[in-house]
Amino acid sequence: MIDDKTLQSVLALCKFSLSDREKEHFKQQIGDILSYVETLNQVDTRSIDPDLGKSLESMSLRQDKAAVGLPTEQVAGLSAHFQDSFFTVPRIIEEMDEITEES
Amino acid sequence: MKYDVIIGCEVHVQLLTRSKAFCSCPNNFGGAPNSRVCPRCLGLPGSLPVPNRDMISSAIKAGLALHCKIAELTKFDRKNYMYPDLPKAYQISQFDMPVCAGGYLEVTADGQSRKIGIIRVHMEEDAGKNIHAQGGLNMSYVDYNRAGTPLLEIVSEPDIRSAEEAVNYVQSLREIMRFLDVSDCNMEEGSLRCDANINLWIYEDEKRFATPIVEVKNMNSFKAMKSALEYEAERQLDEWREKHLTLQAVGKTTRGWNDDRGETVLQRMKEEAADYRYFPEPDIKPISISQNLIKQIKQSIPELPEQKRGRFVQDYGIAQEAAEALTQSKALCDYFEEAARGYQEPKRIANWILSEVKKLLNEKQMSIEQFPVPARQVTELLRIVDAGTISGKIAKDVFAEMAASRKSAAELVETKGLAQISDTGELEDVVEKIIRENPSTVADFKAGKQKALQHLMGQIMNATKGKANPQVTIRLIKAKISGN
Ligand SMILES: [Zn+2]
Repeated sequence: MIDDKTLQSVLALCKFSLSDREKEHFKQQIGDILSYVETLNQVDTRSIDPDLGKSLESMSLRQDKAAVGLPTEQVAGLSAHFQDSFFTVPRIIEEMDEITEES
Repeated sequence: MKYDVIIGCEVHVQLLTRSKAFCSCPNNFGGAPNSRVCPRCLGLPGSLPVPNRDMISSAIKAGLALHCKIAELTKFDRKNYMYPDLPKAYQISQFDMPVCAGGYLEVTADGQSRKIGIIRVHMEEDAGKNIHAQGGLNMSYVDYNRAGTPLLEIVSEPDIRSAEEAVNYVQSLREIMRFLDVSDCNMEEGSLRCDANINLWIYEDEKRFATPIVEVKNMNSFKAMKSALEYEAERQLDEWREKHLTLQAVGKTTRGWNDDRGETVLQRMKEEAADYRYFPEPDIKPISISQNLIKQIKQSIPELPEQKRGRFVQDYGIAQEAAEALTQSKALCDYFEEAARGYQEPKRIANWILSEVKKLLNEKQMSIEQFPVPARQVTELLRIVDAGTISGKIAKDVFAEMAASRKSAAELVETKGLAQISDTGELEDVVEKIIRENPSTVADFKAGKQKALQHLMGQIMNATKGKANPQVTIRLIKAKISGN
């Protein structure tokens, strides 16, 4: 079970809103998922060589070659909100609002 | 009141790769909206990113030029935020294991050079572009052509001590990126973007106080940058005098530069927007960088402006200032060196380029790359002057004509009959005539007035349309008058 404050901040980040009943439901579910993932912490990994990286030469990187992407008709078909070659979204309210300074 | 201005810069440069950072779409400026997109850069489910090899080598190249340590192991991370220009709702960036860290950049101003520390250089993808509808329409338009194009973020230490130095720092950075061919760094087109953190250290009552740090955004030109940071330092000083607010009490705020109003304006960030929940990008394995690869990239780094300046002063004997002006661009350096090759006085070549070539470039609004006169033609023209065939003054006109007509110096001097008259016989007649017509000036000359000689010279130049060889003419005037 996660607390209300955590759920509230997760919802704000996801730009989701939930009803009060749904909130209780998801607090339980998210809590269950987190504690399930927590079980991984029980594994002792100290003796394991991380061997994270592969060398740049051997790794499957992409050669810097340009290729044509999707044709515009197909791009247009990806969204119901497409107009004059642009995707359209509800008018963006700037994340950074200019505010007047209190003097 | 004694105080220091403390500035750190965060610079983003767009890389000049052919394709985007994690997909093969072309990486170009402009173009029809959404014409360079694919499932990967549109963030469609199931598409996977594959890093561009040249993005990584460009980052290493830049890091080496900035004297950074290159990471043995580097990885990508997701920076999460929601915005329409970010189709995946996260940006692939680098968080705790950047590709390069701990370097410096030498910034020269007024012949003095200072090291500005570089905290880190990391790779990340750019976002798309939002265009806000005009005329009260309740929508915004999004173009994803820029989404997923590769950027380097270069973060400096707060080592910069004035607005002017900040501009010099970014200009030096631009110079290096251009020399490396890593980015074209065009501030107006947005291929170089700079934000700065600025505050003051105020020394009062034998204590040091730090004013609240302000991140200044929206500086879209070097001029704007200088004005914005100067304004902000003044504003913070006034605010300190009035309210004595400290960094501890207020923390950091963000202000945008308003160019029209000439002031910075406070901006409020939504609190939760700052929570980017970085986590390792699960679709790209961490990358280890071998010493061998670093060595290879090191060898591909050309001579940088700083080294070139030193060599120009040393080898060509030109002034530090001239060397600084020449090393503004690699093409200008190449032009100078080609023209100076085998010429006795490289200094004169440098002066010619910095005065005559620059003048024409300004007039025609073109870059040195587009300049129609080949470098060797500058050499030829100066040799014609050295031979006494034309005067330095006429050479300037010839040069402008060369740029306009694309004809060679020799050809123009020949067809236009510009060669100086050095033939004594031909000049003698003119000199005698002028002496005859100006008895009072001749008397003045005899009385020791130097101005009289200049006056006679002027008359002779008029009569010959500037073609009389000055040395020969002076000799003749003196001989004729004393012979009289
Ligand atoms: Zn793409």
